[in-house]
Amino acid sequence: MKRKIFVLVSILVVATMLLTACGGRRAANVSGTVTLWHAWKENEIASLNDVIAAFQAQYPNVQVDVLYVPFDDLRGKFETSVATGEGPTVLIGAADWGPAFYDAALIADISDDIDQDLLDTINPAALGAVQYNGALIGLPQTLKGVVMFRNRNIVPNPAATFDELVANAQAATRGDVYGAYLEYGFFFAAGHLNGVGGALMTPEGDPAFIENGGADWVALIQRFPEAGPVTNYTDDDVNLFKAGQVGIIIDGTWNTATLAEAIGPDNLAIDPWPAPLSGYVQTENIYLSANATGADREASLAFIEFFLSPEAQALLADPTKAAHIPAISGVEISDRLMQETVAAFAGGAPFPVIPEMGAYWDPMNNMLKLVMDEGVNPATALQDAFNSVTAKVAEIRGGQ
Amino acid sequence: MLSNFFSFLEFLSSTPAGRARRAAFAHRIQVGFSLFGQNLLHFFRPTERGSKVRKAFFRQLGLQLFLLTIALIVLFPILWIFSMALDPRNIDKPLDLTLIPPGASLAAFRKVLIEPFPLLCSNPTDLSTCMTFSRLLINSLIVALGTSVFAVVLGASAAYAFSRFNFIGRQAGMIGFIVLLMLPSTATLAPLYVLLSQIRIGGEALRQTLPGLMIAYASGTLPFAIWNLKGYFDTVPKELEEAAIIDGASVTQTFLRIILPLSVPALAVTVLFSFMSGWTEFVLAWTFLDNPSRFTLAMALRSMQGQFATPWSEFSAMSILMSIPIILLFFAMQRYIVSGLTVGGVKG
Repeated sequence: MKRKIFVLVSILVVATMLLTACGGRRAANVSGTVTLWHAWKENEIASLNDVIAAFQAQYPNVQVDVLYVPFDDLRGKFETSVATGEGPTVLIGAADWGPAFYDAALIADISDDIDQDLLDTINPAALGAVQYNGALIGLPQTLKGVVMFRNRNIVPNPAATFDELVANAQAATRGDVYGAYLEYGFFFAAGHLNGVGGALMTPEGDPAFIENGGADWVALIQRFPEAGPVTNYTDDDVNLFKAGQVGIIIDGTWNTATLAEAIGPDNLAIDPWPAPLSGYVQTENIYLSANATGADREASLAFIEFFLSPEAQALLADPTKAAHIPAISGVEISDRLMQETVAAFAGGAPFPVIPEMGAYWDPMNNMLKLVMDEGVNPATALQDAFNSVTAKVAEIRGGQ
Repeated sequence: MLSNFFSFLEFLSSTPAGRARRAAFAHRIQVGFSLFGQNLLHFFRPTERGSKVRKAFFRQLGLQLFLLTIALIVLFPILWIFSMALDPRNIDKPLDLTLIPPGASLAAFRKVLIEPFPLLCSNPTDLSTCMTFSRLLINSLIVALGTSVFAVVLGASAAYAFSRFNFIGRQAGMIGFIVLLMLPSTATLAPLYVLLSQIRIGGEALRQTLPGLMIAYASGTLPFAIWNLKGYFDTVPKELEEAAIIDGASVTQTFLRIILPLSVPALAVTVLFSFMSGWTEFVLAWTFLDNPSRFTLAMALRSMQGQFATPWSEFSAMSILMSIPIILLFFAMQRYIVSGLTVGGVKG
């Protein structure tokens, strides 16, 4: 009798383990409702539908309600609704929203709910974007960022160094065709600070660029005009690149499809950063609402985990649909441009997602404009920016 | 500036005042040409009169150039919108104005009018649950008309009380409405959200329904409605009401049968402004509504704007289509609107 019971228990244990393994990290009999809010557009929704269908095949008892909200309204709607005890259980949103949401107790710390095995598969730089004050405030579900685009018809070969880039660009410049049209707006140029071995801020958010490579960084940007025209937050570079009149530009991966369509995917290349240039790598995250409770919370956690599974990440990486760069390792990518993006991100710089980052945008960009456009002494401009950022950081902390 | 604008509206209207203004304008042009002919003779003469004529000429030239510039600034965005709506390329970063774009077509209008909006679906995997232009139009009409009704009914009764009765807090109340008028609509977003979430009808928060949205919009339009209508009611002679009361009418009858029929111009302005705010608003709507089947045209237009790219041809086509009902309403009410604006606006 005892033996029969032992066999029966063993079978049940094995069956449970098998079912768990088949269904991901949570039992397949999870039930509840996942209410997902996002700001994805048409091509991304096609992949999202695929992911939801695959999820529901594994978790047939979970209902998934999806609501699109325009990006500019999503943050406000989420904050208002969750603060009043309502809103979604899961949110897909920008990485820099996370810390503010967590400070306002709008999203949950999921560090006790996510397996270490899953965390180990996530790109370390991307994982850093969801670790805040000792908490895991979400999971990064895709990578995006600043890269260097090249028109292979105009500049045939990638450059390994900035000096090589200048030489290639000068060789390609003729008539109304420019070899390079480099962007020095702070968002696009900040990564180069990491590239020269510097640092923008301390881990706590205090400015650190004066003593950490600031002068080298500004000196590097001052050399940009050697390669061709430069721009600060205009679309002149992008429009000329689309018109086939520029060989190299610095822009975001969100424009990859548009640029490929404009000059032809075969002519477009995304290069590894020529030393010492670099660019910010950001993530888009998936968050669990602080209001998710009971069965809905379990269902939402299962959904979030599934979103980071190789199966879902492969669906999201479909180059004909969302074309998202996977946030985990081990996802096979067939598209050349996506492969090049992943390679470029390897030389990228992590984008700081702490609230203090808000103090840097205007003073740092003004500093770059003063140096580049008005010839202000870099040391003076950097010191003024440092003072301004320090004051703004104090303001941000005072408001918390 | 504002009164000049209203005069211009009257000038365009088919009212007797409009016709008179146009006749006067034609006469001035005729006189102007005659004077111009006389002055032209003096223009090149080195006399004192010649100097005056030259000064006047250059002053007039500067003024006309300035006005022409203003007209171009006003017309340019409208031209651009029409041009982009006809552009089949649907470019995401339009920088050049080509009045008639290459391959101009009505494809953007066709897409907006016929195809479902794939972002606005109850179930994104089922296109039949997605909103279409006609369904969005119905919701927009319900919200805009409902907002107008709220504004006119509540605004007229409140304005009449403020105009005719003396009560404690009357002055403070009117100042309070001014303060409300100055507040941006988003300032009241959070309290309205909480308030309308507390009221539940059939297990659903009022906030999530179209009537809830109408109430939210009416809270923003009522201060204007009350100020505008009160200003107009003040111009209606009290003797008319006294005569009605002598004839046996109650206060309510006087209000409904004497005051309101005399106040059609001010009511028309209130209807138009309330309708426009209900028709074009999207921030409150996107915050309050969770069910795509209740979404409005303004929300759909907003949803076309992307974080990184916007299909500008479709966006422009949708903008043009959305403006048509407002234009129709304006022309239907123009004979009342012009006098309503000029009278209600100047008497506080």
